[in-house]
Amino acid sequence: MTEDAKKFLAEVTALKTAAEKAATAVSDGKALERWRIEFLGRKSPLGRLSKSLTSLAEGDRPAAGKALNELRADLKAEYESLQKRLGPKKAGTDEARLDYTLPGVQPPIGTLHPLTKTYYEITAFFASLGFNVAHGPEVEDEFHNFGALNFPPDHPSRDAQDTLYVNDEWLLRTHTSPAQIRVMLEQRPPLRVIVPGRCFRADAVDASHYPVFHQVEGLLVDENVSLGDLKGTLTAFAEYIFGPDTKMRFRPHFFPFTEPSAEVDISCVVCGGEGCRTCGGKGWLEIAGAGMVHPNVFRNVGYDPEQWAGYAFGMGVERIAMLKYGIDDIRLFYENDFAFLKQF
Amino acid sequence: MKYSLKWLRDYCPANVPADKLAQQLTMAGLEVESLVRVGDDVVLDVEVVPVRSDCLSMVGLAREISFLTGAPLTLPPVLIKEVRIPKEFSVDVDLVDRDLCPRYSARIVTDLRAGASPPWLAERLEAVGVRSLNNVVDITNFVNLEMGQPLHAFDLAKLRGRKLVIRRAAAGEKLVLIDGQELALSPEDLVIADAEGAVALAGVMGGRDSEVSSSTEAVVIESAHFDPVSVRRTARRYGLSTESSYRFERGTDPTATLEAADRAAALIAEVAGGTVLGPPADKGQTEWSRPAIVLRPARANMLLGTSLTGEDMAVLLRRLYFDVGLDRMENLIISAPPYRRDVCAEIDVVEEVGRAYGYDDVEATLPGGRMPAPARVPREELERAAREVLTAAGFAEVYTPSFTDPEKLAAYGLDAATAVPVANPTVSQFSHLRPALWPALAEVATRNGRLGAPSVLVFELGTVFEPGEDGRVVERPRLAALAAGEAAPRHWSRPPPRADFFFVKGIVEALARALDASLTWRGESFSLGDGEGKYVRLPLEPFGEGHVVEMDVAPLYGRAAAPSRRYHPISRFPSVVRDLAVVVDDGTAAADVVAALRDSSELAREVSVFDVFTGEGLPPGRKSLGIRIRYQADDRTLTDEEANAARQGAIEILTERFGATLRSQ
Ligand SMILES: [Zn+2]
Repeated sequence: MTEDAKKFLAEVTALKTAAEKAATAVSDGKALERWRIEFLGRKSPLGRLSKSLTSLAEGDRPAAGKALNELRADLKAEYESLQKRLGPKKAGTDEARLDYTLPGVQPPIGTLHPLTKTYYEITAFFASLGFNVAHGPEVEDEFHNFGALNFPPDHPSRDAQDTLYVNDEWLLRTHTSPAQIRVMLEQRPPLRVIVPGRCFRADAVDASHYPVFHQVEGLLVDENVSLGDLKGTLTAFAEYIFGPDTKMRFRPHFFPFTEPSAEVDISCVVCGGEGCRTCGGKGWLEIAGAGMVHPNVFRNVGYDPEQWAGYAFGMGVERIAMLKYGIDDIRLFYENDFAFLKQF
Repeated sequence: MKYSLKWLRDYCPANVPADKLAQQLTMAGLEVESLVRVGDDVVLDVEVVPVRSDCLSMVGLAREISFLTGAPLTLPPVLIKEVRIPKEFSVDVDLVDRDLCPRYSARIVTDLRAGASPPWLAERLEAVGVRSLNNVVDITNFVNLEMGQPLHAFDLAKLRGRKLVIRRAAAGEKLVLIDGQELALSPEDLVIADAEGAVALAGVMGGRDSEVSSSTEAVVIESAHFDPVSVRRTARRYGLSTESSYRFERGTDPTATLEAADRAAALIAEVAGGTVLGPPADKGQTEWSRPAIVLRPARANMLLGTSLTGEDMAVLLRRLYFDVGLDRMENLIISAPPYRRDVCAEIDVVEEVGRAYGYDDVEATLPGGRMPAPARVPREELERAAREVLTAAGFAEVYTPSFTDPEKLAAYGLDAATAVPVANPTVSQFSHLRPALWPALAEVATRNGRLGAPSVLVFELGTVFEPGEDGRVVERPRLAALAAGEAAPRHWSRPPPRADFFFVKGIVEALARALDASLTWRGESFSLGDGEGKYVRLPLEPFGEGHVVEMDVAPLYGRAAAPSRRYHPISRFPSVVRDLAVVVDDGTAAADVVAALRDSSELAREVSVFDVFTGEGLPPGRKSLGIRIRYQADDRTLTDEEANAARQGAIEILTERFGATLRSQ
């Protein structure tokens, strides 16, 4: 290599170093333009060097030309990178100056309604005891909603039901118990079934009443089934849903389709039994109605009440959800404010 | 019903603090809903279940208190000094309709002075919320509250023809009640009539014209046993509910009518200074017996989960005044007291044993026995699958009421005639059953939009209703999803995508993938598997517009539970991508082009549209589709020649079937 060629290559290297050094000082568009004219402009050393290329010895030209092309590419790349750095853009994205505390891009996160979540918890418990899920229609007839469930016609036991009617023959089910009847008419014992679903009452709308509500009904039929088994099942349920310290009590009650019947209370989830506003000072909260399947109900579906015994229970999903999450107004479930829904 | 503790103590002087007593009653099935101290008295409000009408009286509740506390029970004394009825006061009682009134007892008291009640009487009544009117009426109310037998006092002087006829009303017969309401009676109503017409609506309310007033000097005290169903129907027919009808509907003790009439007569004589005449009238069935019930102790123990002896059970039942004997099989032969109208069969006695023993003392056990085989529940599995797809896409699940009203439906362009009306709605906005889910979702969107949400992505799984044949209602389980505003969470670094048709269509496509179901669109309608669905674009404040898909889901049950999905072996050989830019008529469905390309070669594994445009450089009425086809073979690396041949084949099919031309590149 000739001395001229060596000098040429040294100049290329020096130019690159100078350009890189100058680039670090470029902080705005004007400075960038000055940099471009200085290093890439027609009168820049680059132009002079490419003209002087022809004066080199023939054998040195390929190497010198390659170095010169690389320099040109590097300078152009540098220019583009400067342009990009100085161009319009969001603050904070500069890798070197990244603000790692800025919020990330949220993946879309959907939510299940709290009644669904509560229902799934209820189902999970009963599934573990071998209960299958069954469904029934929301519009029912008198036979399934009342008659087969041992509600005598013209009896005050129907008053509590506040039934909404579609016409003389069809009504909106007041509980999911009619599905008990459907299941028993179709299947033979042993049976373990829960029936979830929407129910209807001719209620006014206030903080604790809504014309629509959800129930989970349970039914177990076998040869030897006792009130003790019912207590055990619901005690385990209450502990599963509300925690292991939850206490439970059975109060004798009346339902036409069970006998003996009970209302089921748990120790108040707020005060633990001391008495507070949530429990009305009683220390107990009602969560379910339950009892031993009435022999008349068995007769109505063609089961022999001497051979079979069973228990049944029904609970309000809204009620369980309200106690579990500390919700004090049933209307919240149906208003669907995001401020409410996104909490679950 | 309200009970005064002081009054209760007249019959059972239990020495138990009020709150302890309330607790014991509650645990015996007589739930004390409130306990209020008033002066030196305590008023208990007890929820009495409909079948325990025997407890709708002070004596009835005192009997329970006596059982629970062991304190003695003292029944009210009935000390009658009667004078033989003189001719001028005799009243002829004619019990015509015995089916609706099995027993009718009555007493006459004369020479009385109607006036204010003595303080003890007024106090007793007012303690339990009954207003004091005059001494005669107050005594009838007092005895009703004391013994649970509703009574009625007629002013004897106002009974025309000195007759009381217990009969069904004549159609249209008129009666003016004590409260001033005039009724045109139904022939199904039972009335008490005098010689000329109805004077009382039996078991519900007396008539104004025979009412006791300050000038009353003689009364007939009625103490009857009316048929519960008849009283209930009549009371409901006129929208009435009285202390009297409430008790008769629930059933009264037919053996107690005469005793109650005597008790009232004696007390009226005491407080209003009258003379009790005798003998009393007592028509209808006067002898009543209870059926003998066999209780098998083993059966009772099995149902309750207890291990009581027959003797244990007998002791409990006798303390509740049940007659208990034994048969040769060691079974208990039970006869319930006459006021326990709820105890008619063995199971009723089992319940009574359990209640008397205490549910608290029944040991909690988990059920043993046989477990039914687990079964798949297609509906549950479908709903879970749908919820997974929707929540993964960022949608929030909502629950909206099943009701709507014609105005709302009209506002969303739906015909109210397609909705099922509710016969007796309680709220006017809830007058019909919803024929679609999406109008309620639109309301949820507007509500949240107005509360400041920039984005509303919501879905609901629920039932819609439509009129069926013969008054039936057809139920359709549906899924609806609505998107409005921004389609993804905001971030400062990029503009958010907007919800539009393609966004909600993507949800349906995701469902189709999750359920392995086919999806075809015809205009705004689509078929997902065997289910039908529809896209709705609606104006929606404050977003401008909303985008909804709503579909039937029942035809999809079973898809999530038993999918047809099968594993397809993965090819180890690289795939080759070929792009096409084809120009077709505007009316050509992209889906048809894609389907044709998918079928064009068995090597075509994936066909996707990456660009669509019209206008610039294209003839009018034509559009350009940019389509990418991925070719792959399972057994070899494809050569460029093979891929090109496949592409050429695809072009020929498009040309032939859709009149497509290649766009020059
Ligand atoms: Zn509490």
